[in-house]
Amino acid sequence: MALLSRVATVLYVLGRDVERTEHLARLLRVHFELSLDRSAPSGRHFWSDFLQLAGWPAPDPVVREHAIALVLSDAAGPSLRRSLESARRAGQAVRPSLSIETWQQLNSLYWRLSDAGWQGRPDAYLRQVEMGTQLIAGLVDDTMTHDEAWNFVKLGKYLERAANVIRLVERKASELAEHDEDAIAWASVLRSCASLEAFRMRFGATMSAQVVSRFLLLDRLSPHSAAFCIGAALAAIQGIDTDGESPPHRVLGRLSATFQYADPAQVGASPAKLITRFDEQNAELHQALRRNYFQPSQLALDYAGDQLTRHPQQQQQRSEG
Amino acid sequence: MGSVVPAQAVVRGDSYDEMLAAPGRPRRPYLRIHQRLQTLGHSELRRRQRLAQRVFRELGITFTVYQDDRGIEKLFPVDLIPRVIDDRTWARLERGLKQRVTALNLFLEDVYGDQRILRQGAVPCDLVLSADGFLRELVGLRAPRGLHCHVAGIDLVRDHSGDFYVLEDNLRTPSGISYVLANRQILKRVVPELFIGYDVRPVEGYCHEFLSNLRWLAGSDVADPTVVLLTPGIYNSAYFEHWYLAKQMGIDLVEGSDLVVDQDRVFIRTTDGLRPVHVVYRRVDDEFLDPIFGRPDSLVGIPGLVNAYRAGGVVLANGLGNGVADDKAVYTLVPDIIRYYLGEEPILPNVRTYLCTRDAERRYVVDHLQDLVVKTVAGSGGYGMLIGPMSTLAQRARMRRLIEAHPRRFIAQPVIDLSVQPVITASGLASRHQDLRPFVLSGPETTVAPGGLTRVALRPGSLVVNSSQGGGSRDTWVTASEDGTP
Repeated sequence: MALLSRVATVLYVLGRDVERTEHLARLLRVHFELSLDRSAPSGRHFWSDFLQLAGWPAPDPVVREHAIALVLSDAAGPSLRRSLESARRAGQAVRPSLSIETWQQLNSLYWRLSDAGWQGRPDAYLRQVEMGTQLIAGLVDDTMTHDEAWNFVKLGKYLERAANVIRLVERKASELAEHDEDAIAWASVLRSCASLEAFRMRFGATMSAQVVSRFLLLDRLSPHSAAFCIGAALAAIQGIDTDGESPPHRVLGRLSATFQYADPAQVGASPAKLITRFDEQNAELHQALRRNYFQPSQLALDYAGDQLTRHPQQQQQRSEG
Repeated sequence: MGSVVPAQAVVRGDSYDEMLAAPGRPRRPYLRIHQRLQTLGHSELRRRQRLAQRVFRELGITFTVYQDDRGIEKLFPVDLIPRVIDDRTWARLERGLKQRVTALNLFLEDVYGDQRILRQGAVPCDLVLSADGFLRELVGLRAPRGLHCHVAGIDLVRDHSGDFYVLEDNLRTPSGISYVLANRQILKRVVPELFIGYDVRPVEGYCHEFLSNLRWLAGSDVADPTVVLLTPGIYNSAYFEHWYLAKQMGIDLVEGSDLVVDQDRVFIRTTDGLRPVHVVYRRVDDEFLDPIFGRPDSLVGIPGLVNAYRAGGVVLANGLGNGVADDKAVYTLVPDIIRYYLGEEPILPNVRTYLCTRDAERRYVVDHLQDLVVKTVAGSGGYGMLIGPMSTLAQRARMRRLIEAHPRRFIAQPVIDLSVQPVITASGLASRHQDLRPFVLSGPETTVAPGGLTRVALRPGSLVVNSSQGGGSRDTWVTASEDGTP
């Protein structure tokens, strides 16, 4: 049964927003912990660098409490609260397409967080967000039919995750350009991508910019590497376009090949080229998605258009050009 | 559920109590329930009530009310004490409801067809044709399978002696059935012990039955008809009901922007292009349904939808123009309508109603505003209503002027002493007024979902059971045995 275009769009947005919420929570928690026992590597720029990483335009130096408050609940910027609200609104709009369990977890996470507030203790709050969003992801997989609707959620989720890890590697590579061997800084990059454990199992405790970048971009088995996510996004679109003929399918296939057959040594030494390739093909992919699935009849679909252009991740990509 | 029409209620001391014949003396159908409530105890009941509300909130069983342009999500509170109707009482209600809706469907088919009833003078022509809900441009249109109203919500009240009356008919987009289904589920979950020994008739079959009726409407030449539910969107106050029903029926929940009309055929926009739609269960009002036909500023409508309907390219449920039959002045004609089409006496009586278009009745109304309830004839949601005993001098003066200027717009009824039943409050059980909205489905057969929605005025002495005014609801049981013995 074919899916309503609006529903496909909103499911995709839902996948992105849930992933984005989890990413922001983890990113903030890792930086909060990092700031506790360390005069940050970039000194007084620590929190403004962080804000930029989280999608805010380069701000003046800010203090910790202010930065945390912004990322948690700013009403204007791409804050955690806004992505969760957006995820819930998306969930409401496509309520019949989600399983009861998925919806209930999303909705109750929203209410729990808006009832509680972070009350000066970001750590417990953020762990609750991470656990809550992971639970949603698990329920999506385990309680929903793996049909076209499900594949659009997965597509959104993995494209968001791939973009997040790539942005992180790009930014940290330049931020830490002078600190190639700074094990603590690179460990927290891995932690921000929920990849520290997986990395240590593979490479032990030795850490360098090269090995970490390569791992985060190209590892085939870690579910938080860019290559893995693009592969998973490709699998999702294979589930949507079973004929294998749609333009988004072809673009994503090429993107996946770019990552699968990239030269690890070259990427480790200079990830910039691969990242530029990603940005180009990702832009092409989104154009194709819009034309083929989200607005196939070329008629105004306000909701979809709005959601896509207003999406924080999209803004972030544009501002980073 | 802001669109639910409020019933009226005034505490007069001698209201009929559904559960208690006298303080501490439950009526027969409530014997076991009463005993079990005592056993559970007040604090346990409160705990379970909170649990029920939490589950409702987590499931998103909420409605939106608007204040200062901001939508606020509210719960529609459910009381855990069920209302019990024994099956003898129910059988009579069911017959009366079927009779009424059958006659109203025949009336609609006639008014938009040959207008036999008007030409023969069985009911006054001018009263019918002057109804706001009468859509002249639809005269001559044959409704698919001859049915205009596929789902009706008929509001019933009980007076001080316990007799049932029809307070009003809702034949356009009646809401509330989702709460019937949700209330039953939540009661099973939080107070399962109340059910034991009662042979409660299930309500779950509603969605299955309704969907098969909708598919039947598509006509026999469509092998596998596509049915969709059209909602104004997530900010509509009844959105919960819309997604809930769509999910229960397994049909697409669509918004206006999902539909396209091309050459009098209706399509949904999918990831695989346009696909034909045969039946639209629409929860968008007549005037907003199509900007070409109704309000040009409608943002939720679909251009061309009404023309497609007229050309037979799509079935709308409910049909267009039903407002002529649930107009509150035409309501006074329903007993005659039943006699005319069915040759039977009405089983369920109307409430005494004064028509302001009749000079003598209007004079009585303006002289007795303090004792009457005045309603606008086309209104729903309680807008523009005046409740005499609760009104101020200024409000009555204003209403008097309005009635004199626009007599066709108003009717008046005596204040009905609605029945009461205890609800669980912070300080123990307390009496609250309630009404009953059963849902009647018309298809190959006319059926009534067992029970219906009991709406409860949760504030003491409150006049309205409307959800936006602090109203709630309770599960309604039709039981096979009179006293709850197995």
